[in-house]
Parts: sequence; C-alpha cells; structure tokens
Amino acid sequence: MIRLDNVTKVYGTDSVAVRDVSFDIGKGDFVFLVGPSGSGKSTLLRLMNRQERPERGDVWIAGRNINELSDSRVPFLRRGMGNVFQDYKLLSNKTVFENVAFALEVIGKPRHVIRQQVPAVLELVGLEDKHDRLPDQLSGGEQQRVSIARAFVNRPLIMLADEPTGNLDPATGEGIMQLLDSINRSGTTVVMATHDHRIVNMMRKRVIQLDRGVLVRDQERGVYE
Amino acid sequence: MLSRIAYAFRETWASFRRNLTLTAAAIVTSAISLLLVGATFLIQRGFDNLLVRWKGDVQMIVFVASDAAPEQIAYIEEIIKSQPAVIDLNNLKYLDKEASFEEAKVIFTGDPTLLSLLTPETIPTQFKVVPLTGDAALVRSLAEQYRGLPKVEGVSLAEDEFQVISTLSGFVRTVTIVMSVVLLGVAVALIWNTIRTAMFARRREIEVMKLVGATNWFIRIPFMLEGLLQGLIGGVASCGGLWALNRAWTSGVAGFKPGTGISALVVPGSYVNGVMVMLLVIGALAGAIGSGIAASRFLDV
Repeated sequence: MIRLDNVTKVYGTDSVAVRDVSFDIGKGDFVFLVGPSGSGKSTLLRLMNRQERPERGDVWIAGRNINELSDSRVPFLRRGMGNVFQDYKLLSNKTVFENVAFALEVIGKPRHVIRQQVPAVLELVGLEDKHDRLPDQLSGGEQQRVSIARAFVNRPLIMLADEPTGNLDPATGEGIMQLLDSINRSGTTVVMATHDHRIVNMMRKRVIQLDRGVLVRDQERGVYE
Repeated sequence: MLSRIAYAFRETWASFRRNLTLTAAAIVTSAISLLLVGATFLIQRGFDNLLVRWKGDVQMIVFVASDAAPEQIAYIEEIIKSQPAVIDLNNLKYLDKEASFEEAKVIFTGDPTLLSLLTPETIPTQFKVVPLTGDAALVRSLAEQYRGLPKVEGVSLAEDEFQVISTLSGFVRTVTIVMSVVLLGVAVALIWNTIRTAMFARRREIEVMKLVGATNWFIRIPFMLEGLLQGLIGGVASCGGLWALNRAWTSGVAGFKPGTGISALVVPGSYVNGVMVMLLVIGALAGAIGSGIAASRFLDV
C-alpha cells in the first residue's frame, strides 16, 4: 500500500530531514513511526500525502509513484487518505457536523450523501449527540474524535496520524487509540507518528524508529525503546 | 454540481461581508478608473465628430451652393485642378449632397434643431482639398481665389478650425489614457490585496480543504467570483457616473449658440451605451483575472 525507496528529503541546502529511508507497509497494516522530535516522523507523513517531495528516492502509494503525479492529480490522491493532527485543525466557526461535512462538500459530494454519511461516522466516533456543538465547546479528546471523523468520513484506504494523542491526557489518548484501532480493523491502513512510549508499548504494533532522519529499527509487534 | 455552485456563492458572499472596508476601497477605485476610461472614450468620440470633415490631411473645404448646376460644379473642379503642383489631385474628393448630409448628421448630433433644417436637397456640397505644399500663405491665397468663384458659398481652412482642436484632442487623450491606466492598475492592486487578505483570513480552512482533496480550482473560484463582483460593481457605478456626466454635458452644450461647432462634441446615445457595456466587461475581467492570479499565488498558505 505504501512503499518508500531510498527516500531523502533535504530542507534548504543542508538540513537533512530524512536520509535514505526505505520500507514497505502492506494493506491494512498499523504502523508506528517513533523517534524524538526532529527525527523526521512528520516529514515522512508529509512525503506520503505529497505535501513534500523528496530530493531523492520514490514514494509509492497504492502502486503509483506519487512523485510523478502532476499537481492537478494530487487532490485525487488525497481523497484516498485521511489526515489527523496533534492540533486537530478543526474550523472553529463550524459545528461538529459542518466540520465533518466540509470534507465531503469540498470534494463535491451531493447533499444526500453528506446527510447520510456524516451522522454515521459521528456515531462511530461516539459523538452522535454533539452534532451542533462548536469545537470550542468540546474537550480535547472530543475534538480529536471530530478530526478523526472528518478524516474517515470518506472511507479512505490510508489514515495518516501525526501525534494524535500529543495534546491529550493518558486516558483520553487511550480512547483515541481504540478508535484508530477499530478503524484499522475495518481495513484502513494506519500510519501514526508518535513519541508516546506508553501507547506504543500498549498496542504492540509494527514500529519504525527514526533517529536524525535515519531509519534505525523496523520491528513487528515492537515497543518503544 | 448544484451543491458546488451553491457553495461557491455562499463563500463569496461571506467573504464579501467579512472584508467590507477593503472591498469598498477596491470598488470605489475601480469605479473611478473605469469612469475615466469611459470619459476618455466619450471625449475622443466628441473630438472625432468635430474633426470628421478634416479626415485624411484635408486642409481646405470648398462649399458649393446646393442650387449649383452640374456645369458650374465642373467649372469649380476645373479651377481647383488647374494647380497640380500645389494640390494633390489624387486625394481631391467631391462630396455630393447625399454624402455631405451623412457627414452633417455626425457633426450636428448635438444640435437637432439645426439638423432638422438640413435636408439632402438644401445642403451645400463640398470639395475636400489636400494641398501638396506646406506653405500656409499659398493655401490661403488659393482660398481667396476660390471664394470669388460663382456658386462657391465659402471656403474653410483647417488652419483656422482644426489645429487648436487637434492639439487639444491629442493632449486630452494622452492625459486621460495615462490616468485611467494608472488608476486601473491601482484598482487591480486593491482587488489583489482584498483577495490576499481574504485568503489569509481563511488560510486554515484552505489548508484543510487541500488536505481533504479539494482541487485548486474549487478553492480558487469563490475568490475569483469575489474579485469579479468587485470589478462588476465598480463597473456599474462607473456607468452611472458616465451617464450623469454625459447628460450634464449634452444639456450644457444645448445652451451654446448654434453653429459654434461645440454641438459636434455631443456623443450619440448608442455610442455611450456601447462604452458602458465595455466598462462592465473590463471591470469584471480585471477583477476576476486579478483575483485569480492572487488566489493562485497564495494557494500555498
């Protein structure tokens, strides 16, 4: 589903964010990208949804080399992916329902599809009774659930999550992990960047560890070291 | 499709209200610049009316009485043609009654009373003379000679009527064109800036849109519509201004004594309408294209 071949990303002239990284993630896998801040986890995620392009190497998504994709095709690549962020990136002037509907609206889904899919996904994340709330009226965990609902409402093949539990207390973070796990069980490939030891150790999934841009460990059912 | 259109209009309207001051500034500037563009066209057209009878280097017009017999006209022509060294015979033109009447209709647009007195029967015909010499004194002496011929009603010299107006026309044209181009540039810059501000205000939203797979055109179109609307409203305002200006001018000209030539500066209504349509199109295009370029440049927020 996701394959990186000898990928190197340099910011500016000499700041190497990712150096010669290769790995292969199968359909339906759940993978943690771990490592300290600045180790290149976020850069890898940004390379996977074409927010960045590598200086060297290739990124393959669902059998296609996305570096060769024209700019006008990138939106269609992204429609097959969901993105979740540490800071949720919700629109504060829109309600929970509108935030999730927005993802469908901007890709031109008709209204009856929106009316059907948004309540379903809000029920999945456990927010069926908070459709009309604004993000400010929700707890951090609830806001992250809205963000996950928005990422998942289009039933993407791949979910990219960048420190989704970074702003949450441990118990709330666990709830988010359960949600991502159930999304993964429905067949969606999940790639999650984190430096949260507890969660990695609890989940026992594949772990790809980075250190200053270099891949130092790729382990099935790994723990955070 | 319908939901996309509804979305675009909703966003346009919301953004319009959000940036009211900047939007107003952009609209006022585009209105003023378009008004100047329109005024340039009207002034130019007025001068063209005035100068229509002198088109093609004509320096002298010999008016022949409407009751002149064909042989009398032939005699006048013969006299004019007897000076091939001084007069460009290839460009010597004779306007018969029909042609002279058509020309008078242009010249006297603003003087319907005078125009109603003229008919193709009563109008004098004209010889349009292009001299080969630059010697004004020589041309003047020729004119004196023609004035003495039978059935010649009068001779007009471009030197007397034309030169001042021609210089004035060139000057006014340069000034108004430069001013309107500069102001149009300012208007586009202001529209550009409103769009940039609008996009900055919504950068988070645009980021989310890009991440969930909205195409660049989908993001850009509401902003382009906003720019188009600003340009169009400016265009409508300038049309109103132009209409008022032209009305005041036309009624002002009517107060002049007939026959002073000022009435030629009145522009026909159909021409004014054409200029107005052009202003609307320029306004809408400048707004849409300016904001489209701005939107593309700032789409990477």
